[in-house]
Amino acid sequence: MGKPSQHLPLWEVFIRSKRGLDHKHVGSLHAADAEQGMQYARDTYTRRSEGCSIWVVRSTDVHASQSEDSASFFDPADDKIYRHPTFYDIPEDLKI
Amino acid sequence: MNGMVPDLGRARDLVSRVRDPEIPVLTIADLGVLRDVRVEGRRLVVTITPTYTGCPAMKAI
Amino acid sequence: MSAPALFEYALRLGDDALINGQRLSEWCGHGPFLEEDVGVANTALDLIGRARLLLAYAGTLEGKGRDEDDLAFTRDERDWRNVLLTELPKGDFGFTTLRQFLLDAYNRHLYDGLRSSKDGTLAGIAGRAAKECEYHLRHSGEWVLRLGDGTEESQRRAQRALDELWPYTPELFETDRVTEELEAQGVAPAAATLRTAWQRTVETLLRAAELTVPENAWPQTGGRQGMHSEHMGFLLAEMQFVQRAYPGLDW
Repeated sequence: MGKPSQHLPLWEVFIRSKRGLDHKHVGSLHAADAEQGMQYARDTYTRRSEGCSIWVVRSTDVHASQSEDSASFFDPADDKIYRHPTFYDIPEDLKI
Repeated sequence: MNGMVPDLGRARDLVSRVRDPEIPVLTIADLGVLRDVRVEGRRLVVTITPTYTGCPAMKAI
Repeated sequence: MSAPALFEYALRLGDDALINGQRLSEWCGHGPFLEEDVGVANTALDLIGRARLLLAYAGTLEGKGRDEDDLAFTRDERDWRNVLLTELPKGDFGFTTLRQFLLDAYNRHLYDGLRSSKDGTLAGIAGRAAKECEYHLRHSGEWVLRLGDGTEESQRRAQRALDELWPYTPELFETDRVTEELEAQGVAPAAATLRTAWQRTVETLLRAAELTVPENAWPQTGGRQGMHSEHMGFLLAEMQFVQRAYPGLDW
C-alpha cells in the first residue's frame, strides 16, 4: 500500500426514485471508495424516500461538454430538418 | 509579524481551516462564512459573513 | 408468560437502544468529516426510534401509565437495564467504531431471532429493526476493516479499543430467570445460539481486519440489575436535564 492520502476523492451522486424512470443528479460527496460512497449517498440523499437506485461516479470520470464548444456541438442540428420526423408524411392507413 | 508582508497564500490556507465553534466537523470555508482574505499593506484583512443575522457564534469566529 | 418478565425484557432492549443512541449522537457535529457525521447521526436516530417503540411497549406492559418519555426521562440510574457496553464514553473514533461493531453484530442476530418471537409486538418491532441492523453492521464492519487494515496509527487505536471493550461483551449473553422464562416460551431467542452466531460474525471480520481477538478477560457485568458504571450518572444527567428542570414540558 502506498502512502495514505489525506484527501478523500469526490463522487457525483445520481438517484432514481421509486416512481422515476431515470437517475437524476442530486449532489456530490467525499468517500474513500465506491462502497462507502453508496452508503453515504444513502444516508445523505435518501432519508425520506424508499425503493430507489443509487449510482455513484468518481467526479474525475465525468466528462462534460465545454461551453465554448456549444456552437460546434449543438447549433447545426437546427437547420437539418431531415433529422426531425415531422418532415415525413405518414400514409393515411398508418395513422393510429 | 512586525515589518513582514503577510504571505497571502499561506494566510488563506490557515484561515480557511478555522473550524466552526458549534459544528467543528465543518470549517468556516465549508460553511461559506469566510468570504475573502487579502493583504492591505502589512495587514491581513479577513472578510466573514454570518450564516444568518442573529448568529451568536460570530464573536467566537 | 408473565407480564413482569416481558416488561423487564422490553425494558432491557429499549434501554440498550436508547443509551447506545445517546452515546452515538454525541458525535453529531464532531465527526471526522461531514459524510461520516451524517452516517453516524443516522444510526443514532435509528436506535432512538427503536428505543421509542420498545419503551412504549414496556410502558403498556407495566400498566402504571408510564409512557416512553416517562421511562426515558424520569428513571434513576438503578432502574436502567442497559448493558454496560452501551454506556461507556464515546472515546476516539476507533473506540466508537469497534463498540458499535460489537453491538451491531449482536443486534443483527438478536432481531433476526426476534422476528419469529411468539410475542406479536416484539416480532413486529424486530421486523423493522432487522433491516436497520443489517445496514448498521455493514457500515460499522466496513469501518473496522478500514481502521484495522489501515495505517499503523489506525490499527493501534483499533486494537486498543478492542482490548478495552472485550470484557464488556459477555454481558450481552447473560442468562437469568427472565431470559430462561422467555426462551422457554419462544418469546426470546436462545442466548447460547446468539453467542455462537455473534462470535462467528465478529471473529471472521476482526481477522480480516488484521486485528487480534483478545483473550477472554474477567467479564464486566451488572447493567441488567441496575448496577451501572460511573459513566451512567453523567449520561443521564445530560440526557434528562431538560425534562427534570421543566417537568412535563411539551414542545
